[in-house]
Amino acid sequence: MRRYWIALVVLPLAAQQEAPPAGEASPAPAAEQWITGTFEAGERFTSRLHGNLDAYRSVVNLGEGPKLFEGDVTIRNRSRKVFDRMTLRGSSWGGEPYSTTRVELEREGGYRLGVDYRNVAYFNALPSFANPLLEQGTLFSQRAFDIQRRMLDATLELRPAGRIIPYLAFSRDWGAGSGVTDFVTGSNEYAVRNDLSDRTTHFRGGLRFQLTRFHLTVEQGGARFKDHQRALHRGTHLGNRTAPLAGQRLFLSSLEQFWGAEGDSLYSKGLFTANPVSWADVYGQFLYSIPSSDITYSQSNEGLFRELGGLAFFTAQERFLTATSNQPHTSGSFGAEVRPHRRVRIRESWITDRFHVAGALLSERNLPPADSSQTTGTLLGAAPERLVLNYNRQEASLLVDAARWLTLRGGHRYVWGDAAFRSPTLRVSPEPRTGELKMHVALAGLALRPSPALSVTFDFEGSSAERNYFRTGLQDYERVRIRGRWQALGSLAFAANVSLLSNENPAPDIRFDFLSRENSLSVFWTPQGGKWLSLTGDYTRSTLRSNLLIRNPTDLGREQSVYRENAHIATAVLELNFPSVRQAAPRLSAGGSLFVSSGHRASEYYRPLVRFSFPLHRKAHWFFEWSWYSLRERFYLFEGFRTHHYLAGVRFAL
Amino acid sequence: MTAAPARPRRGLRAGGRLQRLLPCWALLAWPMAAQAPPKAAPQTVGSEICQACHEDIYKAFLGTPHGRLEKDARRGWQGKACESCHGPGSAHAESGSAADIRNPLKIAPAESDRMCLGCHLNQPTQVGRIQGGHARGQVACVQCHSVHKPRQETVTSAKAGLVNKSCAGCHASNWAEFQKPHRHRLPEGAMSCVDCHNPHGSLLSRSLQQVSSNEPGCLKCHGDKRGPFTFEHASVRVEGCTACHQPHGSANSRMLTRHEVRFVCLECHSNLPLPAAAAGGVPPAFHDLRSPRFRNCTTCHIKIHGSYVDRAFLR
Repeated sequence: MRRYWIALVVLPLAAQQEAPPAGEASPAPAAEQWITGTFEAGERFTSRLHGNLDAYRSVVNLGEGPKLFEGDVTIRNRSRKVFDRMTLRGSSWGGEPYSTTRVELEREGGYRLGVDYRNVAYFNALPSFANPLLEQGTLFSQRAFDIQRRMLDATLELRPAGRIIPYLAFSRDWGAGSGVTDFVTGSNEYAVRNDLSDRTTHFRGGLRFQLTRFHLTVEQGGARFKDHQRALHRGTHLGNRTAPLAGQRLFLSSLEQFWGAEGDSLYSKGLFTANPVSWADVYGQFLYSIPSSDITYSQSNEGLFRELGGLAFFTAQERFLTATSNQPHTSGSFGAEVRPHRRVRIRESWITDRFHVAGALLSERNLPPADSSQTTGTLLGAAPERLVLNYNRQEASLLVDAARWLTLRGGHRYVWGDAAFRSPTLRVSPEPRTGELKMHVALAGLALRPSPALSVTFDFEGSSAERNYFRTGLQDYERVRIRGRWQALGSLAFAANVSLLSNENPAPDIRFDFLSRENSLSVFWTPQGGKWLSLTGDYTRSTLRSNLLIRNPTDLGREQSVYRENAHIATAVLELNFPSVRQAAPRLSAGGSLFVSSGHRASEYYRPLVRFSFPLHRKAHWFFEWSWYSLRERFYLFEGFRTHHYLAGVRFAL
Repeated sequence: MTAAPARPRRGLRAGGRLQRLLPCWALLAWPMAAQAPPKAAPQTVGSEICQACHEDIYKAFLGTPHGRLEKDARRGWQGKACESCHGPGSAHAESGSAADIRNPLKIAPAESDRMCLGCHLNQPTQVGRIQGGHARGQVACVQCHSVHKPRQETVTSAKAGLVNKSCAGCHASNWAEFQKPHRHRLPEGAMSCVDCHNPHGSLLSRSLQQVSSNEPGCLKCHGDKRGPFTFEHASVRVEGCTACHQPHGSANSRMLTRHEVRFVCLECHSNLPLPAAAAGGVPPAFHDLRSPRFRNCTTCHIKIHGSYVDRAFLR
């Protein structure tokens, strides 16, 4: 990374050195500054946290200290030798959980380079999630991680305004950190520390032909990835099973477990668009990738364990595995828009996506103690696991501009496919399981613009599927969306959203009844163009209702899985501008968001915020911000927290 | 007994009314037509005329990517870039009336899109256009893209805050989902909507972005879930991440679709016998749900997205 930073620092300096002396003729307008931008830096203070620190870190994770909240610099190079314009943008640096940087370099007619870097802290350790010891009062998450993830993307386009544009791109996504996971063996599970490290590197390059009548892009790329994980433990660990089994207490005394997955993928892409005649456009794409993985796994554990479903106890176990898998994946689409009349458009599109995943254990060696009945030895050439999926979608629609203020749309979508899954290791089903997907969907919509101040769009789709793959998949469903916007006055606008999804599967052993409804109302009020005051506010009411028959594996009896969530969600910002001081206006912003829900996971999350900025100079503002974070869960009170944040700093413009 | 006169047919009656009204319209229109000379088709006037009144807009426009039209002879709009979108401006220059110039924000979306696509159709961003929801819902290019503003102030600058604000303007209920405690970090500006969605349309449903040619965009950041795994969890591959997760935001700490993990699992794994109306078998009988160990499925099935070494996703 250091090289990138050196380059970022040196390039602007080089640009400055190459700038012509004052007074020399310059192609840039005289009034244009060679450097413009803004910076916002300051310090955050937090009050003492009340509640659960892990929950706070999982949800908010903002810390104290000096920060660069935002920086945005544009440099115009008058000599235009290396670049015309360079933009450097960064946000949330200084130990923040999500820092971003973006650099853009451009030379007109020459090249365009974009580099994007993000550094994200992933932390999640909430004791309520999948914690079997919660009822005993153990507030320790057995599924936690603390990972630093970094993502770098760079794209270079040559002659970006030309007709033939070569481009190259590189991206890397890598994460490393530690966490807590369960080691599962025999009849017990042990929460242990694990180290995680994964990295994916992509390279791609291609050519774009952008001509008057058609465009063609051909691209070839490749990826290399690795995912290494290691779990280690030393010392007596009693695991989740606290009761003795056949008079003996199971325990883990040592563990060394390692996964190493490495793989690569080659991929190709072809895209085209064309308008061969003035009344028709055609589109198409062909995509192909073939990722593959090679895996090594080793495990060595000691303690006292008991076979799952067996009676034998054993004291040590060693496992070595190698495996491989690959996934050839082909996708394609074709579409056309035909305009036989000025007011009529006919659209037809077709998509296909097909792949199979084949994975096999190449070798397996288990070394359990002699008193165990577990399989010992080496297995080679096991029959592969295989998942095959074919998915197709065809859609035809007709759009009619019935009047200048009304567009009507109607259409039909046909979705079909099949899936087959064969797992020689899954004893329940030695034969391949197959599934089919077949669905006819009716489509309708309209766009209404009775006046420039009012617009409404309506979308509907509904289907009665003949076959689908999963119990919770779309079966007999209707989806409705209505969006409207009304500019009541020059300074006052309203927007409304209504969305509804209703899905039912009446099969006797499923009886799925699902309803999701979200209604929103937004207000935008900017009297006098927002000179003194502006207000933006949204309110959303959402309802989620789900009923589904499930089987309880304990006795295979039928039960109803019921889920309810009713939420009120609001966000608002009020901005007040005061009379100018030092040629700039002090400004007060107040607002925030709230989420209040009832139902199966009732929770309340508040984030009010007030910010005041005061001009110190025409180009510098001092600012102060207060915000409050509060989470309260009705059923998991121990996961709540609340804390005040104070921010003070300076925002200045170049 | 006298026969009733035959009623004229409906069409004829209407025609008769038209015939009666026509002389009146003609009387009204004739003097005006006589006074006004025949309206000539508007001509292009060049950007210099435009900037005489719209100087600020013109200056800002020159700093935008479209500004190069003004000096690029190859594209045919040299010196008259304003009229490349607004149409010939002679009538507007004479009258000064907004009604005499084309405003892409105020015309029908199909019409303004046709204007933008006149130049931009043959670009890779448009490949998924008619498969996307925006084209289906008649959302015009200019509803998201601002032509006059400098690039740093538009969605093409890829500034997360600008992109999210623009999307939230219409998708208010989707933006509301990001106010839940467990969500992707969009309100904080760490991500933007276009990190996951391609607003121009995509091969995948919900206009999801793609990575490595045709893999779902989720894998761009969650590379450790890529696989291919020796032992796949079929629903993850077939239905995608949203089979179990609510990526915008959820009340569950892992953004699951249900409040507890067992309901997510059991809603699929409840079929008897196999294969039934849908995929997914019932867990074996030793999964006694009275014990908390079995109520938290991912305590044991830790590699639930797919495992490299174990069919039951235990390691």
